[in-house]
Amino acid sequence: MTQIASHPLIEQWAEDFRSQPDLPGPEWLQQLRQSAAAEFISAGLPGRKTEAWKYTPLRILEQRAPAMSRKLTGDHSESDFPAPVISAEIPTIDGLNGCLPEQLPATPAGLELLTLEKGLVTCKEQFEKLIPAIETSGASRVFAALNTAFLQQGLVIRVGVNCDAGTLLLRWAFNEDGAKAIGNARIVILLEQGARLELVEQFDSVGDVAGTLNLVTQAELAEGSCLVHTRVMKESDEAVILTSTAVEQAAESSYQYSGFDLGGGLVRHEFSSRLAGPGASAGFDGAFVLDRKRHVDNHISVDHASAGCSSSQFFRGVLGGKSRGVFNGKALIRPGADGSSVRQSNANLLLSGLAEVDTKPELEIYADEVEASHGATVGQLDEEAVFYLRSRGLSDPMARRLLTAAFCHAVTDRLANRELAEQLSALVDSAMPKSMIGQETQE
Amino acid sequence: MLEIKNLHATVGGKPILKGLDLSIAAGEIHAIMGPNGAGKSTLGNVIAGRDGYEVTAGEVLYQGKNLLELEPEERACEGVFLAFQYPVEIPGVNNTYFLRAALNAQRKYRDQPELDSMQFLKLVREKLEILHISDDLLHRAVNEGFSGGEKKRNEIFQMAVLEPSLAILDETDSGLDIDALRLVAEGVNRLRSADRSMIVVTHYQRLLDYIIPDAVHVLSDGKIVASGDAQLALKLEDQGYSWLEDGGIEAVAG
Amino acid sequence: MTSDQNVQDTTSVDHFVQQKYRHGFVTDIESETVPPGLNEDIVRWISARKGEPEWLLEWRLQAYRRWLDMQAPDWAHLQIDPIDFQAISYFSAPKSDKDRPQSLDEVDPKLLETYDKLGVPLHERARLAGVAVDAVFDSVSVGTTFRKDLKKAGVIFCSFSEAVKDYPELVKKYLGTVVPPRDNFFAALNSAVFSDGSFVFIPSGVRCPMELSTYFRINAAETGQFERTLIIAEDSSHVSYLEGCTAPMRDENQLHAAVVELVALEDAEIKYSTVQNWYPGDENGVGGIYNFVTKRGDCRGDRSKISWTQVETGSAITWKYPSCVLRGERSVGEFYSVALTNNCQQADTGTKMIHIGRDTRSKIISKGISAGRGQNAYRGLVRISKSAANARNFTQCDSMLIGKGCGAHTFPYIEVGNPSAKVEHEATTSRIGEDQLFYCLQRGISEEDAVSMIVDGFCKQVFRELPMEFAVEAKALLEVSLEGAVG
Repeated sequence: MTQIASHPLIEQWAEDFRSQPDLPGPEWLQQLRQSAAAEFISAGLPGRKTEAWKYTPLRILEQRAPAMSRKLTGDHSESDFPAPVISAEIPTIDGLNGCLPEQLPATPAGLELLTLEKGLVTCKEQFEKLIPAIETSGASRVFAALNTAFLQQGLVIRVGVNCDAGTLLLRWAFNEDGAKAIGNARIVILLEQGARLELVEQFDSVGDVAGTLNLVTQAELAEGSCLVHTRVMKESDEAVILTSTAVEQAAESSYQYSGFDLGGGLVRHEFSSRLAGPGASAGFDGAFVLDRKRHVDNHISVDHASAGCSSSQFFRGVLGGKSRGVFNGKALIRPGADGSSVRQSNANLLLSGLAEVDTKPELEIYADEVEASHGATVGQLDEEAVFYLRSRGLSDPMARRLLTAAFCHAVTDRLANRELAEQLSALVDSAMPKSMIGQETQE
Repeated sequence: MLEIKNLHATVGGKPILKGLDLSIAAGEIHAIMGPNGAGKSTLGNVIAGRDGYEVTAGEVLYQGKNLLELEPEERACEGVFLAFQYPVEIPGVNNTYFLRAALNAQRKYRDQPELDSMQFLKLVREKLEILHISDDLLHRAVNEGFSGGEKKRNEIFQMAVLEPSLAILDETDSGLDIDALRLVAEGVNRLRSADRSMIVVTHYQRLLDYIIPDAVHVLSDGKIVASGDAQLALKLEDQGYSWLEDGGIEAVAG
Repeated sequence: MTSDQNVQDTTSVDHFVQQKYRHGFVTDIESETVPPGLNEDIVRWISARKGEPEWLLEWRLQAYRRWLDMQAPDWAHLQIDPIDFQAISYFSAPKSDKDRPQSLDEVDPKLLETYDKLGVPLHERARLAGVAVDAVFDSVSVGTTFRKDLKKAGVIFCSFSEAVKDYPELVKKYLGTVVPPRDNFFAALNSAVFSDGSFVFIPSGVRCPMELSTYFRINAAETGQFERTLIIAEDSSHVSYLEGCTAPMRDENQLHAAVVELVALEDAEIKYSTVQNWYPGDENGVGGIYNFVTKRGDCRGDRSKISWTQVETGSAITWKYPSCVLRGERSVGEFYSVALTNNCQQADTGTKMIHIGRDTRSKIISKGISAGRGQNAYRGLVRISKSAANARNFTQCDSMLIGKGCGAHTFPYIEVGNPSAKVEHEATTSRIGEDQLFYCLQRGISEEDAVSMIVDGFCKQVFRELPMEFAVEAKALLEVSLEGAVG
């Protein structure tokens, strides 16, 4: 790959990098920023020829040409944040335009919240290995490279041995200051042995801001720990959200992700989970409900590097308008990772002649004692079920809306947090595309 | 209540009903029996308005209205209920939610106020009690993972909640063991009333031991070939359907 | 052979003798081979040697110039040592070709003997089997049986070179319309240097009275084989075409880069079956054929149907995706595949179903078996274009692992742009069923038999699609290829 970065956007960001004032941090971090910058400059923007991005064009970013934002200071105003998706009194952290507060909320014993700056001091040794572990080379990793090159903002969440830290809410929002810029943040989650944390991330702004968020999350799950991670995307059609999450899992640890992409103009979630110790498990569930010209892409890669691990991917998509949905789930089972089990499932309902779905469930298997299966479907509602509902008195469009929502409830039903599940079911219902098939003729 | 005249219907271009006449007064239960392939289920589906069942001639009048002009949901709102032979599983749709949506759609159609969830829950609990059905049914998705018997009882339960004027029970007895059959029949009997008519479609006489019909009709090759009282069912049980083919019709039809 | 882990487990089955590659003999006949290397002069030489018209030379040269600008694809799940395209000889023909035999009786008896050894039902046996055979030996088509019988029915079945001479209009009309020279690196290379191949034309309304068949064999050392097959089925015609491939054992890798183009017009049906048994290399991965083939069928007419069936047991590396472009309304594409990799073999194979017309249907059944250190990848694309209303696809893609050192990979691409489409993809990967094995053993069946029985059952859906005599051959091949693989 000897591409020469000739893309104006890359050049702009390179200039942003050169002109940024000296950032604080240890020497190794300074060097890391430099090398990451070199990587994004040499790699260029991912395009159609970049396998991992072939279905996700970045036109909107190219048109918008957002600058890499400098760190914004000052406290956030509550009025920038819509109501939380969970009502309970839980510690909440608000990130505005990708910028995290200096003041972090009080937490129960065993749960520790730090700014990245403090984390670099407190968790010095750990970070020296962890922060550079994010893959930053090649066009497909340009945004991770950017995140590292401009690394300044961040949050460290640490849960102590055998502590159940309960639920933590992280709200992301944009206000007008965030338009035309890329908010760049890194979340580091460290769960010690037997620790448990439920993290809910809400992406939701009060106005329709053309903001861009480039979020990198790194989680280290020690033996027997458990991270339940839920994302609720309620952003406006103007927002661009790019996330990249890397999870390193020790023996018997568990990571459960559930994503509800009900908003956002261009949303891309990348996940890589490495099941490094025996008995680790990772589950990725997701529902995307798309309308208009929205675009959602979920890219998941699970690396079974140890024996007796299991992973699953369960995604449901509903696509209306001119939207496009992408699912790419990959499971790699390395030699010796016997007793692995992998399940991948992606089902989609296409409701509009102008919508498109691209799905790619991949299996790469190098061990023989495995149970692996995947299924992907694209189709329509079961007409039998539609008739059943109509025979009970529901109108045709109502029956279809109900069944389409039910199609996504298969994902909310899998949530262990019942309160959240109910909230999200209702959100899913109200996110149903306006352009439901059959509705035009019936109503 | 229901007046079917010279009904002809095809499925996938193939004629199934070939001139069926049937008249049911309010409060009556009529049993439709007949060999496999006679068109029993087709009749229920035509009345309920399923796609793919094409009426080529004849009419179906229900409370004086031409039923065939109505959409399936309009028929339901008019009080027509079909208990499906194979109730559809709908994962992700909660039984209670579904039933409330259906009931409120029907109430709205009839200009009745919709029930809020408290009122609805009260109603549902009453009905469950009458039918001796456990309320865990309410928390499950519609028919998902139900046993055959549970599905059929769920159909009867829905009927109890929706209170139709005309119910068609399509082989509600099929696949049930004797205990389940008794439970379902009991449920049906409780829902008998002077302003509710029912069509009980069945292949076997045994259901009619529990649900005593006012009339029994034999459907063969798309037509009613014999009609009689409950005794006819016993005779069919005894002699099968073959005797119908050799001139035995007149002997009982009358 | 297999890895040394789990010795206890594997010894019981490892004792099976590793049978030698059965078709690995070299025929000792004089042949005319151009020196290795590729440049415009070689392209000109090949064209002149075959007495081709100017337009075809021009076509080749254009393809060659395109090829120069292209790069070998690297996206497949394969480890390929860089190929030195200047070390390959691009043409080799048996010497006796200079005074080409007029009938089979005049064919060099040594050649016929070769086919005998291969089990090619040429000559009299062909008649018995009812198969018309065009045999391509190295680069040249050596004789086509049954030409007269076919002619009576109006069917043209001849070598590509003959077609260029005798039916230039047909060749000109269809050549490169399904796989254009710029399609991919290997297709471009083939277009520049293709030496021979088969040509089939089934006129309107004709049902080809017999199965047509071609056997390919690479004999000469350091040669590549670049044949080109073109099959045209006019309106309402029908043809079933079989292809078999073998090559001698040689220590160096040999390149086989073929192009197959199928055109089905209205209501026409083409069934294309392949049993590919090129030399796979030895158990350490030395030698073997690089089988880089572009096969594509174009369902141009309404209600046309193209069905690919392949049994891939040979080659060191297989890179092929027999595809269907479903242009015609209600056209149908099918792909049935068994791919087996043992020892160090690698395969990256699958299909592309491109739905363009409305009410088009496609079906993909792929069975991958990996043994030894073999790597087997299914790669398939199902694309439903906006115009393809009511399109349907069903894909089932199963992989079986036999032993610890092998790999099985699945890379489906599903792109759907029409809301009335229905696409279903299912895939499973698991090791050979231990309970099934045990059940067989418990009933007194040897492990060897049990494995081949289970594998045969696993592949049944595909074998069923093969013409009878091919199905038997395929089954036997699979057994041979699997020997020594169980672990």
